[in-house]
Amino acid sequence: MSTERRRGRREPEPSEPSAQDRLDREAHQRIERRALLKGALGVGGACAAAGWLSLAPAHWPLSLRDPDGELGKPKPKIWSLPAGGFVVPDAPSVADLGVAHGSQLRDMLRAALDALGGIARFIQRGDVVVIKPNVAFERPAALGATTNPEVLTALIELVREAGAKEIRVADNPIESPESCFARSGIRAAAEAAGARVYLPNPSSFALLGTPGATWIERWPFFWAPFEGANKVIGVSPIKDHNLCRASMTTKNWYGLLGGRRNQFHQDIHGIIADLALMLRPTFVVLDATRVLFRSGPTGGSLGDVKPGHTVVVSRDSLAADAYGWDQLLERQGEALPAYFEKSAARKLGQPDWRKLTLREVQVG
Amino acid sequence: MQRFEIRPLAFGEPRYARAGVATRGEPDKRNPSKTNLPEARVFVREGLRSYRKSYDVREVYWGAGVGAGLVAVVGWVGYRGAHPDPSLMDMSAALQAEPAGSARPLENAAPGARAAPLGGAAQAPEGSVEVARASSAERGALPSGLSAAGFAEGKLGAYLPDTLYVKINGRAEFYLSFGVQSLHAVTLEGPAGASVDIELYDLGESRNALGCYNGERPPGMDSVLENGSTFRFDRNAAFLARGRYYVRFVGSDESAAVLGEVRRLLELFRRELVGEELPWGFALFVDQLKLAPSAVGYLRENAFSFGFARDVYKASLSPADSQEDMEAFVSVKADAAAAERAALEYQAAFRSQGVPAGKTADGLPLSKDEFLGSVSTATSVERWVIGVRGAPSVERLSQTLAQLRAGLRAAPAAVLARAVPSPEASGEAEPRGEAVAGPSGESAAGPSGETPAEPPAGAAPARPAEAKTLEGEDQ
Repeated sequence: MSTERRRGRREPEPSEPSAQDRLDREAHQRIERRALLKGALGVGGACAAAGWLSLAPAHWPLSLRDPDGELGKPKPKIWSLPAGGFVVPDAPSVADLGVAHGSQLRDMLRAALDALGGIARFIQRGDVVVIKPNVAFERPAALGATTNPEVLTALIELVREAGAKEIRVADNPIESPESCFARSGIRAAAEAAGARVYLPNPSSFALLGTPGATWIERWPFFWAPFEGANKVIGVSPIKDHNLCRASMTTKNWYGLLGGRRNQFHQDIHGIIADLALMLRPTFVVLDATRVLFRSGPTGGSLGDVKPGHTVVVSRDSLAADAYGWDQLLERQGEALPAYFEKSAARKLGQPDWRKLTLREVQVG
Repeated sequence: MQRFEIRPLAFGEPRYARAGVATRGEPDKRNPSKTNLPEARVFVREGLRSYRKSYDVREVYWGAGVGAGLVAVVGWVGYRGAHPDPSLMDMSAALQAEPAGSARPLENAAPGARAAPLGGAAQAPEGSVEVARASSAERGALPSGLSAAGFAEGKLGAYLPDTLYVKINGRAEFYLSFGVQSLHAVTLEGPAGASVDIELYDLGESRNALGCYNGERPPGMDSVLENGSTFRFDRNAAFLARGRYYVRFVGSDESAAVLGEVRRLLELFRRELVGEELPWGFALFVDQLKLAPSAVGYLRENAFSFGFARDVYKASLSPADSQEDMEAFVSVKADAAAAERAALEYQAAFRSQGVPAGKTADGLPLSKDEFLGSVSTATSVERWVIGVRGAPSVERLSQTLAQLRAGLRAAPAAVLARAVPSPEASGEAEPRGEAVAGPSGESAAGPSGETPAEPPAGAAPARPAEAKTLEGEDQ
């Protein structure tokens, strides 16, 4: 065959098309209706399909439209905290609120916990425990804007005695975390008591899903300390707050959020109610050894701080906060901030602490 | 078996002509049993290329090349899909607290641009505002030479309204309500963990600075007003309003070393910061009505929880330990008509919070608080709105209004000339310092040396402590 082809190239035989050939060509050029319709339908259908895929609004079926490029982005994994939170089962014959007054912090804390059934009810051998203090500002602890490091020390020691395998202390201050942990005394106290301090860095955040939340249904969360943890304790100071009127244990979870969380100040009560939904702790400690009763949440003057000599422990952060509002911030008679009602509407706690069992002890 | 010759086509030669293809109506030469049906080509009208029995080697080469190219594209896409740029997949940066801005001086920031904390932020972990010592251009109005007496200047930070929350999250809104323009913060670190934090707020105008200062002043705490500075001490801290600046000096404790450093810094800032004359409202209340400076406040917006009430000076006329909450207030408008409209707004707003309670002797409508029993009203005097809120009696109210009128009449021309509405309140800026007619209808050259009005009834007069020097405060 190759020989023939080469020969053919050497000896072309041009010829004129015959009359029959011309007739055939005309016949092929004739448009037949059915073929035209088939072709037009095919092409039209293809165009319509392509148009649908590319131009249909993004939420329509089969649409590939991606006006903001979101569909093309990598999809981060959505994390979730344990269903039901980190709570321990109910126990009969124990108080809902343990309140201890005095000056011996460790004894006060133990007494307040004993009112709720003792530390052994909450912490078992081998537990991995996250403790969340409030380290929001670069202030000495005496100014009342951050958790008292001595209360944190006492708490860590009690948790360790109960057999916790690992104790993690974590917060995400917006201001320099290293400086906040250093000047507040929290880092030194935590490490001296044998806890591991988690400072936030870019890789320690994950997208947390909180079904039912208004603002933080999916929001960056300081995840690293929660990896493998099975108990969570909040320990927060009691402070006046410029926006939400009082910052206590429920507002304390705000420090676990990442992202531009300051935007939530537009609905501060809504976000605090979301926080109550986001994290159901094992128990909370309201550190009222000092009370920042005005110029909060930053404070600055010792004139804004009064001694409280009190710690409050509860599984119900709303109840602990309501007690703090009435008895420690001394705002009894004033209406509770709106986040109490919003949280209570979601059945996340009991803001009427008088309906609960309270055990109050004086230590020393 | 029929054999076909395969050869290249001559130029212009119909391809089907040599292919032995049957044409319409004739038996197929290759398959005589099959009648060739007419073909209908719609889109390829020229020839029967699909029946062609010859090919060109160049076509093969081109086809192979194009095919190889397509395979390469597919392979590249597949490879890139399997090996994406790690930075594209790294969501952690987006999930972290704050986007770290590039380090740049505050002065170079574009108006309205999101500010970054100053110098060193690029080296700090993302989301952190840890900053290193900044150059002098980044210090704002912070005086140089802060380090002394064993206290060394530590880290410096600068924040614009957009980033104020980084430093004082939860408290930023208070300063924003007074129109804060920047915050420069620096820590002086002393021996044994002692420290003094300095926060220098630039509020743009002295009335905002004094408003901030008084807004953070605990009830009953007096201030010292001296040489254009208003300041007070509160245990470990000192607070200063001078010119457009409000400064907080926060000591870590109450030790002698820390308190000494706080005092030194206060003196330094009083010397170094540019002072201004008292805002006209403060001058009216303090100089003319002889009220204590600490009784006077400024509300830039939302005065008395009235959304329309902006740019209001007010003075508390009740002792701190009393059950009363009587206040006099004054605000300036662009002209008399605007002042009259504003006075009517105040009257309506007071009425909405209480019940009508008759009129004053000069015909002003009174509103009475149903629970407290106090009365309130407002009126206009030329381009000023004056009023009294929470007076325990109509007599006290009328007496205070008369004193406000007298104070305005007696105010020096220079003070009245400074009385212009804030740009936010008037909707447009008015030139500052413009000479305007006083409330008496006289020209700006008012009767200097005129006897000041008496202090409002029941008001606490200026106490000797108000005139104490800093040294006197120490004792």
